[in-house]
Amino acid sequence: MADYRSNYLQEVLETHKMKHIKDVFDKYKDRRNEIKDFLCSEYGNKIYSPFDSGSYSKHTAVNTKFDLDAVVPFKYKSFSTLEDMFNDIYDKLNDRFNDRTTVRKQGVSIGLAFEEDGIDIDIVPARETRVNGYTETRNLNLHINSLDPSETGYLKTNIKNQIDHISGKENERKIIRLLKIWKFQHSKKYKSFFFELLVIKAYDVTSPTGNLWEQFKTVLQYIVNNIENSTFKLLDPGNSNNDLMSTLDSYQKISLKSDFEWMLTNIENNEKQIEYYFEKNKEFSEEASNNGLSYGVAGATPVSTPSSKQRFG
Amino acid sequence: MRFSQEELLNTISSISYISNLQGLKFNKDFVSFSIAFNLEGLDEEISFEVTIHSQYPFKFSGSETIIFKNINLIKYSHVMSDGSVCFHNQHCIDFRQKLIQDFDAIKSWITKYIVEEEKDSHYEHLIVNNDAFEGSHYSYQFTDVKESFKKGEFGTVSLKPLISSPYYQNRINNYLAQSFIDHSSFTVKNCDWNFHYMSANQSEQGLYVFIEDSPAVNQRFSFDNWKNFVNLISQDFLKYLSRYVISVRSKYNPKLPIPLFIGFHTKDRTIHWQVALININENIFEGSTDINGKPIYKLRNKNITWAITNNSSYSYFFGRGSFNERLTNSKILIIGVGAVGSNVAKTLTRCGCRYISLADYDIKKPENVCRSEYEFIYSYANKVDELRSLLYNISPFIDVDIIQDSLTQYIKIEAYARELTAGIETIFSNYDYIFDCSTDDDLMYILDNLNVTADIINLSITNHAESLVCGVSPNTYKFVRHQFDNILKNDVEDLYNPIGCWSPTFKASYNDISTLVQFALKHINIMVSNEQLNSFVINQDNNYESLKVSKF
Repeated sequence: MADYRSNYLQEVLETHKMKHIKDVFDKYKDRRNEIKDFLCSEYGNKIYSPFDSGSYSKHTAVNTKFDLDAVVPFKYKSFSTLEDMFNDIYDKLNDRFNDRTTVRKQGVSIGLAFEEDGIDIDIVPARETRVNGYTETRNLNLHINSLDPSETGYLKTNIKNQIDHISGKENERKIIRLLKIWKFQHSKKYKSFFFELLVIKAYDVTSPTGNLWEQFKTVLQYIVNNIENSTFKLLDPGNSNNDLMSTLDSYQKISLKSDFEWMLTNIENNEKQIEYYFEKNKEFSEEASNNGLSYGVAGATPVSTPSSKQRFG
Repeated sequence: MRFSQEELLNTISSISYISNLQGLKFNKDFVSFSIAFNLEGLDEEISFEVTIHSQYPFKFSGSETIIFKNINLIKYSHVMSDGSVCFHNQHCIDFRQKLIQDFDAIKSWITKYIVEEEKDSHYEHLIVNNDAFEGSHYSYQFTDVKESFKKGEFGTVSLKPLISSPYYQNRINNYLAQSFIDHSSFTVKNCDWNFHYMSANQSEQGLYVFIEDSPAVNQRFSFDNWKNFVNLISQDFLKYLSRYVISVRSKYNPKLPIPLFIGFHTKDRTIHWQVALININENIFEGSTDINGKPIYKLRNKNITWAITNNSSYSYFFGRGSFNERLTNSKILIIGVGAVGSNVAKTLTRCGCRYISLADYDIKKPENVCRSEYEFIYSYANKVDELRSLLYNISPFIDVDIIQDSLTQYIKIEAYARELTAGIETIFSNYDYIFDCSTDDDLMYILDNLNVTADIINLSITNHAESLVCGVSPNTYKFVRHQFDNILKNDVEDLYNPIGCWSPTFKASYNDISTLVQFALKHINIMVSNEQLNSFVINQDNNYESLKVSKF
C-alpha cells in the first residue's frame, strides 16, 4: 500500500545519495589516494596496504556529511610504542602537506583539511597486535590521543570485522542513513557507529517487515523500549570489550528515548510532521527546481492581509 | 444559638477527658462556661473559660467561633495575649460533631505543647498590636542587608514612600526601607531591593536602633510600653534621639510620625525590624541631669504605637510559589512585548525572575489593553517603558533593562550585520534565555544563524489562539516555520480590522491567549528545571476540554 511517510523517507534517502556529488567525491578520493601513496613510499615495508574505512566503505554515507577515512596498518616492529607511531605519521604528513592543508591530531586519527577545496580526510594509524598477527586476525591497536591523561592509551579494534558486520545489510543501512540525516539536521551528538550497532541489533531482535516507514518505526520502538535498560549492551564487532552503550550517560539515553518517542507520536498524529524530522537535500530534490526555498516564500495572498502561514502574538 | 442547651450538655457529657462544667450561661447570642481537661501526663487538670458565639458551628471571617481561654497558659505556643488558644479546625455543619472535634483539637494542643513540651521549629513573628497614628496607619517593609548590625548601633533609615491606600475604615501609608546609615561611621547599609526601589528620589527619613535581643514577653508578645526597653536602649541613643527631635521639630509636620526601626535577631539569626511610631511632640523619655550636670534620659511609662513592619526579603516575598531557581536567577531577554510577550514578562516577574531585558519598537495603544498586560491609564506609551513600570509595580526584586531597537532591527541592515555581528553575538550571549515573542520571521531566521550561547525560546500563536508554537534553539526557524507552513490550521478568514488600518490583526481575547501562554510557561519551567529544553506545540483539544502538548 502506498504510504506517504514511506515514500517520503525513500525520497529523503534518494536526495542524500553520494552519487549526486560524484565530482566532489572523486576529488576526495584523489586526495586520499595521494596521501596513501605518500605514506606507502615513506614507510615502505613497515606497513601493510592502507585501506579505506568510514561510512563510504560501509555504504552508510550521506552526501551532506560524510567522512573519508583511511587506515594505515603498521607492522608490529615498526615502532616501539603506538604513541611514537602516531607522532611520526603526524610529523611526516605535516611536513609533506603543511603548505596545502591544516594537519591536526584528533582522537584516534590525524585530520587533513585541504584549504584549496575544503576537503577533510582522516588518517587512522594502527599497528598489528603481535608480529604477523594482522595477516591472520586483522586485529589492530589504535593510539588514543587526548589532553586528558586519564583518556589516553590504546584501543583494540578490528575494522574488517566492523565492515563485515554491516556487509549486505541493505535495509539496516537505510535506517542508519536516516538516523544519520536526523542527527545531522537536528544537531544531535550521537556517534554514527553507535547508531550503526543499534540498528543492526534492532533488526536482529525484531526482524522488521513492511514498508520503509513500518521498518523504521519498529526499529525506533525497539530503541525506545530498550535504551534505558541497564543490561542493554552494544558490543563493538571489532572489540568485544568495547560496549558502545557505555559511551552514553543517562541523560543522553533519556534524551534519545524521548526524542524517538515524540517523533513516533508526532508523525503518527500528523504524517506531515515527518518533513520536520527529515528534510530532503534540496539541492538534489525534484521539487528544488520548482520551488526553491520551502520556507519564507510568500504565496499569492492579497497585500497586507495575513496568510494562513502568519504567526501572531 | 444554632443548638440547644440540652444538646450542649449531652455532647459535653459524651467527651471522656473533660469534667467539672461550671457557671453555664446560655444566652441567645452566646454561651459561656468553664470546664476542666484531665489528660494523662498532666500534673493537674487544666481549666478553660469557654465562650461559644451564635455563628457556631460556622466560622466567622475565617476564625473559630468557640474560644478556649486560660491566661495562665500564656507562655505556651499559640496562646494569644488574652489567654485564648489560637486554633483552626475543619469545617463541620453538625453541632455535636464540631464540638467534639474542637475539644479534640484543644486536647491535641495540650498533649503537644504542655505534656510533651514541643517547640515549633519554624520562626513565628512577634505578636504585635498595630495602631494608627493620628488616624492613619503606617506600614514599613524591609529586606536582606548584606552587612551585619552591632548591638547598640543606631542611625538614620532612608525610606521610600510607596502608594498609600484605603485600609479598613482609614488609610495606610506604605513605605520601604532603602538603607541604614550608622550615625558614628556613616557606613551605608543598603537593602537588597532592585535599582528602581533604591533610587533616592523622594526619600524620607526615619531612625534605627539595633538592640539584638527580641523585644518580647514570653518570646512572643511584643513589648507594649516604652518602659519595657529600659535595659535595651542606651543613653547614647536617647541622647541622639533627643537631639534629632530638636533639630527637625521646627519643620516637622506633627501629624506625621518619626518611624523608629528597632532591630533584633530572630531564633535563626536573621535580622528583624519592628517600627515604633514616635510623636514629635510627645517624648518617649524624660530628661534630667545627674549630680555632675550630665543629662540622664529615662524612658517613660507610655504605650508604644507599633506600625506594621514586614520582612519582604526575596525568600518571603516569593515563598508561596515561584519558578525554578535556574529560571529565576537567569538573565532573560524578551523580544516583542505584545499580547504574548507582555504576558510572558509579567508571569516571569511574578514567579520570581530577577533580571529581564525588554526589546520592542512598538507603541502601545488603548486598543492593545484588552488582550495584553498593558493598562488603560497609560493610553499611548512605548510598550517597553510602560511594561517596565508595570513590572516594577509587581516586584521589588526585578531589574528591568530596555534594549535598543538597533539590536533587533538594525541587525537586518546588511552592512550593520557584517560589521557588528560579533558584538551582537556577545550581547545576546550575556543572556541565559531569549524569549522571542516578536513573531518576526526575519528576526527568527537571523537569530537562528547567530552564534549565541543563550537558549532561544520562540513563542507565537495562530488566529483565535487555537495553537501555540514554542520553538527552542537550535533550528528554531525550521521547526516554527514547518508548524505554521505545513501542520497547523490557521484560519485567517475571520480577522479583526482596526480602525484606519488596512492590515488586519488576529482575533483572540486575553483569556484565549493567556491560557496558552501560561500553559507554555509551565512546561518551559519544568523543562528548564530538568535541563532539557524541547520545542513543543500546544493545541486546544476536544472542543476546548483540554490542552494537548506535543513535544519535539
